Amino acid sequence: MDRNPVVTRKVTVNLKDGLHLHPISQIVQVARQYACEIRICKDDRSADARSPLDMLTLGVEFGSVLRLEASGDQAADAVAALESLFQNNFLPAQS
Amino acid sequence: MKLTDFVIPEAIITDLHVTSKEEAIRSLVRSLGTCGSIQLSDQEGIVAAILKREELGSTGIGKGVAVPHTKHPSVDRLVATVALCKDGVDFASLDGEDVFILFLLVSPPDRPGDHLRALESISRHLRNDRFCNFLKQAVTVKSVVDLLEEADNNQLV
Repeated sequence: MDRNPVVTRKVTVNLKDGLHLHPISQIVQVARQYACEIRICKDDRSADARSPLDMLTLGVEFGSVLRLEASGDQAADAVAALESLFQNNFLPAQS
Repeated sequence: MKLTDFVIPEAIITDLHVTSKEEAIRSLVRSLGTCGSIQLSDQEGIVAAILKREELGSTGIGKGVAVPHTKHPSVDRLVATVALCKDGVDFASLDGEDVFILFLLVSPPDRPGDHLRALESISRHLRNDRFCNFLKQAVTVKSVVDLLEEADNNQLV
């Protein structure tokens, strides 16, 4: 049995300016809380969720559909935390 | 989008000597003002906007690179400059490392796509170690411009 299954989730980018550096920094902060490997995928390209430089190269615009992929310890938690960022449109959850 | 589409050669600084993030940002904005890419009267407003953006989180994106930026209504097209800081400057970067290469961007508020594409272009080239290393070693404006052109033409792969 695979002890490190890949957890994936699709999210839509609803930021009108696209995935610019501020939301990317928020992704990095969340990703760095987990030990598992996390990648953000757009079409056939993917980026390390801990690397802002990597993610900027995806050039993610408003309306893009991304795939979150994680494998390793707490992969499901990591994907859920990142999905929550997108669902809250990168605003604090309580606002 | 090509680097040479938006980097203003006359505003490039190859020997930035600063001791703080704010001083670095002021120097780059002043350089854009001196060459006429932004109005001198708008400089202070642009510096303030960039510093406010930095409060949201550092634009020091790692690998010794920072991309301070803002949208500002005083420009009708994306303008940017490059500065090389050989001694490094503390930018409160995400990876905790000092910054040696700065790309400062000012873009019109109604063109978010251009801003995103410029950042995409900058980061794509900065992932290339050859580009990064050559840029850090550049000592003249011409050598920086040549390097940007070579990167645009994919001659550094």
